[in-house]
Amino acid sequence: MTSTTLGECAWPTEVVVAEALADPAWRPLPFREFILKVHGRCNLSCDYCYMYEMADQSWRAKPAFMSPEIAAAAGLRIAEHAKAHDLRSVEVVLHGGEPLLVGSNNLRRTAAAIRAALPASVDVRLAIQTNGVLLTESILAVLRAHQILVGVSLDGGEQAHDRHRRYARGTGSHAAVMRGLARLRRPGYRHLFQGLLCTIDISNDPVQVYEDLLATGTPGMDFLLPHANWASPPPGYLAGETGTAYAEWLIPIFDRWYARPRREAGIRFFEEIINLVLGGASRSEAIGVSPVRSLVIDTDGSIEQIDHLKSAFEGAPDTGLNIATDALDAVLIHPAIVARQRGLRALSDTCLSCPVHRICGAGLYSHRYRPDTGFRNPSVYCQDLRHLIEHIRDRVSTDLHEAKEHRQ
Amino acid sequence: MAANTMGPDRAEVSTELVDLSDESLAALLTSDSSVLSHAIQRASQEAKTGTDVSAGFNNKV
Repeated sequence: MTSTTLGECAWPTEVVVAEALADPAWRPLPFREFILKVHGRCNLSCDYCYMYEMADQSWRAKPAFMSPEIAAAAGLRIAEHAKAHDLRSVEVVLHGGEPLLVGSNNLRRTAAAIRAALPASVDVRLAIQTNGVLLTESILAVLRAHQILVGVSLDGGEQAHDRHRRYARGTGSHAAVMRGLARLRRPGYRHLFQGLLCTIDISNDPVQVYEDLLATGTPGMDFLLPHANWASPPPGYLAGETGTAYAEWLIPIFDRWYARPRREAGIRFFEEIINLVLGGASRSEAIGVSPVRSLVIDTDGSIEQIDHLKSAFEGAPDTGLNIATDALDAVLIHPAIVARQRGLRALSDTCLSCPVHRICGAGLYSHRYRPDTGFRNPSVYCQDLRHLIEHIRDRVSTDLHEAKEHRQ
Repeated sequence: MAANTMGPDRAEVSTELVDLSDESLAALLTSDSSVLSHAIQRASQEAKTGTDVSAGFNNKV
């Protein structure tokens, strides 16, 4: 075992499964979201990428892309799972690396294989998350023909985006992404545009970043905290400390966005927090304690947990299972999968004593990692999350009280 | 409850903030196109239907 490998006593262990099985109220929840790693390489070399630049380097030993045979087998495994659990809908996300490196023919073949494998009784929502550079005419035609919804990674305006999202030769990708977005926004394709993902860099002006994203005409966006943990701290923080710099960066965006008389675009992270404040549940694994029902199928057919776990340690997403030999049901009692469907039971004592723990849910699972204890810890963004949640709670609460008084 | 805390239970917080079964209040709160109006509509809908919510993959929109 290397120093970065999860220790035998680190959480979650098999004890999590034993506790769940002994709980008469518990049952494993089937997967509904399937992330297919259709390509394992990228045409960009972003310096913060969890796939290539962080702890796990397993991509080096895996096939560069998913073969048609494995894509077809993945479709059959998803269909088998849907049938076994009587699922009425599933979501399949084509992911990478950069998934559009497969080219238009392979993209068409993969989409057709997935749809062909699933019966008409199952509503299949296909989506792709791309860096946007390869949104060409031929690709867009396939995306439209197979109703594949598109998410694009964009970190803001040219300066903000090109600080991190560069080609290997060092030049920025912003201009190419904007050309791709311009094609995606045209009539005939616009309906496929789902939104933008923006990784936060607190050295950028937050409101300017928001306005640059909004200027693309996007219907929605999300702001992602840079992947980090207690051993590998967020940019701007020292190991072992937390702070509020990320909350202080997000709050001006929230205030700008929230105060408008008309909602300009969705911002997932904020909307999920508001819904939690109102007593609902989160649809994002970044916040809240909703069960996670997603899994990854890698280019070699291996069945893995969520891929941003690669930021924690070598082999972190591994389950040891492969679609060639294993049904997806076999993963349902993997300790890490069980842990992420146990809600409050997955939180540390420190979290449980926090007044916002039901909203925060300790944040993103990867951000809780400590080499000695595993994942039952507060987030390395603990103070940021609490500060942001309390700010949003206060704004919403004030408005609701004013509305009640206005009515009276 | 301290001014800067949420209290121990999400349901308690919800009750304090808005009664989603109060239709006249819900109508008032969803009468425009603001962020809050959208949020109240979603929360009301999910409360009515008891939507089975799971948490989706963070690295896609």
